[in-house]
Amino acid sequence: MFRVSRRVLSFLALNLVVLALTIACSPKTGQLSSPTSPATGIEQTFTVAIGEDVGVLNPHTYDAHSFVALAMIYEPLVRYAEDGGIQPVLAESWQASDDNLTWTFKLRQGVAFQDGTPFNAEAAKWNLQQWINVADHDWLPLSTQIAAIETPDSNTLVLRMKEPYYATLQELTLVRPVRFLSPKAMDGQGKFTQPVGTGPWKVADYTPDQKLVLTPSETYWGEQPTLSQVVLDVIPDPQTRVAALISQEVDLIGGKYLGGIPVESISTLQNNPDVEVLTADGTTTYLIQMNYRRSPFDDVRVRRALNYAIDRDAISRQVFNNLANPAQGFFTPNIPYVTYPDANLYTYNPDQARVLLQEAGWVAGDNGALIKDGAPLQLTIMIDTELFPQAKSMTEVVQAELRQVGIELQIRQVNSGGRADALESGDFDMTIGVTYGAPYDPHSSLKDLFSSTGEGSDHGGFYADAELDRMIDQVLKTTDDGDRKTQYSKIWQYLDEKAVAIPVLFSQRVYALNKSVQGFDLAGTEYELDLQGVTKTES
Amino acid sequence: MVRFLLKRLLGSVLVLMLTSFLTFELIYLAPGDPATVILMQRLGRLPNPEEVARIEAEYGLDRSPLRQYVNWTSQAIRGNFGYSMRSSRPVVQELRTRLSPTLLLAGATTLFTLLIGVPIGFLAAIRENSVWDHLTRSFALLGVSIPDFWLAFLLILVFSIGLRWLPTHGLDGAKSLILPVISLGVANAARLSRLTRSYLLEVKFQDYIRTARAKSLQEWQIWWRHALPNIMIPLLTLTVNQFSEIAAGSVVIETLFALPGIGQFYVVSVRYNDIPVIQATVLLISTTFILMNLLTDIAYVLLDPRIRLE
Repeated sequence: MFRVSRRVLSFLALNLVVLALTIACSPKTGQLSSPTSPATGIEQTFTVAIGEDVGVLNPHTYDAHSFVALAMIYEPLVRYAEDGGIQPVLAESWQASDDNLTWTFKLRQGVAFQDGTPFNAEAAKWNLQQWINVADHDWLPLSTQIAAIETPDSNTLVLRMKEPYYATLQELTLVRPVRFLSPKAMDGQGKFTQPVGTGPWKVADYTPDQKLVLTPSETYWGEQPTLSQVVLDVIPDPQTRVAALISQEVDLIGGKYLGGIPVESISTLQNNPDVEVLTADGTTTYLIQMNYRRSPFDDVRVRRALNYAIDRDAISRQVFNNLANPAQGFFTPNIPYVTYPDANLYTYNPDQARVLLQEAGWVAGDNGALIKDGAPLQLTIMIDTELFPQAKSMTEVVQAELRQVGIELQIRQVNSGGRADALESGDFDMTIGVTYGAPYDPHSSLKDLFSSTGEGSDHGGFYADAELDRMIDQVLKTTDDGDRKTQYSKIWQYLDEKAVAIPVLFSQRVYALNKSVQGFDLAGTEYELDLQGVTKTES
Repeated sequence: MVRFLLKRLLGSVLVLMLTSFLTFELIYLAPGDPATVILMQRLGRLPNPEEVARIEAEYGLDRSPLRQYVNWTSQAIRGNFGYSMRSSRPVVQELRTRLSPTLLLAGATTLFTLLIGVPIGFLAAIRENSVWDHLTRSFALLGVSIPDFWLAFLLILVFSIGLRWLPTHGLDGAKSLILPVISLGVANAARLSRLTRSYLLEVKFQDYIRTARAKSLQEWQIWWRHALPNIMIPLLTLTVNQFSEIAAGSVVIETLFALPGIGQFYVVSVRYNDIPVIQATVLLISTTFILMNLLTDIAYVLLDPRIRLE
């Protein structure tokens, strides 16, 4: 008869034990009941793909990996609008004294945190104390500019400044460390316990590395969202994000701080009838930075020549599929105070580049390569593709263009550690950089990239001189808007003249969403997601 | 048996110590100062010297690598693996939540491999040089040649985008495991089928098979009761090896299918230079391998009465 050997049985048993063990350890995937929206009474779940786990959602530290999640839960006093204007949020109105040394904010009344704690001047003051004059946050100029915080009554907040600082309001729009957390979200030892803000969304469920589920907050002071639930779904691989959108498992992908869309997938998405690709002008600029302390970049003629030698249109077309615009200056036109003294100044002109290089002493040898004092013009560009995925294809185009004028460019690929080492020691020729964009600019990138006290130039040195330092310092202290405009336009002219870097492209914001989604508008900055008026039609 | 186990345990401890020491020192050979790299990831810019000094003091990075290793070991023995630099959560807690998806994936893939690989191998061996043999051998060749990530994308294209039968990503019920298991399992199943076939062909002409034939046993009885038990040992070794490999974290497949397991977690931690997590993960991976090998040795005794552990 059929009799199975004991040995075979024990082998199968071993396998069964392993399987049983794995099933026993498997996570409970209980279905979360999706509540109906308080506003419409309809169940509508909106799923957004994010590239990385959201981390610890404390707005006062850097442990969160998702600006977008923070911005949905926590609110600022004021918001940065798409046109660069400042709009009221938790502050109903504000006023600066004539000398810009005192800022008075009237707080919105009847606002409560999601745990019921009232938002008032005391709560606001406690929040400001978490980052003002705290060493961890001294990168943020405002954190070192405030001398005193006063609360004359429960809905008035007064900031006394050490010096006039015009970007005060702009920096108060930041996501971290500026936004407001319920003081009760910290335990007795000052340790963060749970994410509690005043915003329209509250955390309903969180599974690390999988998803964050947000539901409308009943205590929200503003209009309730129409969606009943937002899921931030972690999908690390960019191609999988695209596949998940096409198969309608997620409703929205893209955006710098959610998880980018690979350039090569854009046309697939554009041709898909169920998908809508949204593009808008971004606020960041991709730059090639030059180590100005080193030869040959210490010569302004060489820096200018390099600006002429690069065909920005070709890079936009070939590398970005036109999803980035050729840069006309250092900052995008939607950044406050930005003008272009001469937008066509550095239009692609290899002849002009050759002339300038010759003036600087670089003459063409037999094979067309430039030589000075017997040494060829060989440059190296350092790239980190983790930081900037298109860096490799972009530098390859630049490499070909520079060869046209007789410069040999070598591409050196590094990881974040290698990049840090090189920047710190100053051992690099050129590298790719990105400006911070709204709401940080123009003042933050200007100071960090092109001043002697900036974070960038402190170590490696991208560009700095005494005149520019003075100009930047002065504009930050201006109290009059017209005066500020004049001073900024002088700075733009100076940056062009000194060719302090090679602005290459103005970024675009690219999102792709499910066609059944209606009412999706881009938020003022890429750090935020505005889902207030979004609805989904059932397909 | 007890002596054998004691000897193996001692050996394991030595291996683990050596592995952790090497990992520790290798981290310092990688470019970039750990504190600077972690701050650059957090802040998105180059930190200033004061910020670096603060992080170094917080995580003890200002001491010599050897000193740090001694500190780490003395804490690790007590089960304290420190806090993740990326999330500030305890490392043990971080790893615990990621263990089950990986074990689930490894278990299901192993089962898949056995259910596909062994029968195919049998078919090929029993009908040696038949059409079946050639067909299954071509399957095996194709199976081991296809890269898992490529197969994964192909499967997503067909079953998720085309037919909409299965999800593209995430861990939500058995359905979500089907594509990752096939992507990971096909190459392993192909390898297993080839091994099963060649081992069976080896035992085909052994005396005990001839005896079985002489007893006029039916063909299936010969294969099932006399051939299979005799190839169990190499099959088990291969299966356990495959299980440990996957349980150590399938870096590519977990990242691709957004499975929140050890593999995906390890990739992110390396990117952040999260030293406490890297250390503990490497230790966990080594422990898995050692443990599974030990279990295999013990299983040998159960499977083959001729083997005694000394």
